[in-house]
Amino acid sequence: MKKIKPKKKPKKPKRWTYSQTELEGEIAFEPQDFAYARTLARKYSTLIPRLLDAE
Amino acid sequence: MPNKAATEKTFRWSEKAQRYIAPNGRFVARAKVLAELDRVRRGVGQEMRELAKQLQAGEISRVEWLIAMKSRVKALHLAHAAVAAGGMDKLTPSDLGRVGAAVRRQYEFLRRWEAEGLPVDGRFIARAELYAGAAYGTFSDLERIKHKAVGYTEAKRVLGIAEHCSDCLEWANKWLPIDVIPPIGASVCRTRCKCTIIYR
Repeated sequence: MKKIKPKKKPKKPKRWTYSQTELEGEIAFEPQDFAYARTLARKYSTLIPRLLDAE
Repeated sequence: MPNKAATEKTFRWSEKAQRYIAPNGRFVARAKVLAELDRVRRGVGQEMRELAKQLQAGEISRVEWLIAMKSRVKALHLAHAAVAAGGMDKLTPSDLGRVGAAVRRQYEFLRRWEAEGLPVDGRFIARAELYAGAAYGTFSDLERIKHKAVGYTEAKRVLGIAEHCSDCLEWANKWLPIDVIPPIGASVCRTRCKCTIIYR
């Protein structure tokens, strides 16, 4: 008697907990990213924030 | 009373020399800029370490940790790129594209970590701060591109103060064409690299 193979279960799609589009596409830089970059620089250095504003 | 920011004289950027000019008219020592960037990286690295500890202690969730890490990675790379470019407003769309690629690479490492469900152990905490070190590679890459754009043709890797890896020892102190010089982060020591690249 011919055995019937059980059908393979389809794989579950991966569940992302973060922006999939950001991983695959372009990284967008918003004004808040620039502001946060300045904040971090100011937190740990006095020179770097001034260089970021260089003319 | 005038506010402090308004009275602070601004720094200028010399495109030709690829260096900053202080308000007193003198060039800002490159070593000083690198040391200050290192301070920022160490500070943010410490924050990343703390975040990893908080995750380990169950004070924050994995998602919260990821969001906090991603915002720091992005901001740190952006600040480093801006310093290499001569200021925030000198970053071109093409520069931002490069920074975006570097940030995406770091996001991919974070994603892999999450996908593999790696344990939050001591090694993980030590690894967390390496994400901050990666920003030095972005600074160095952009610096090389900017130097090339204004006519520099050769570059030399100079060893910093550190225990050097075999790659850095092999590649140091040789003038090479600017396109051939191994970038910061390409050696065995990766994001811990303390070498600098000088141009002529």
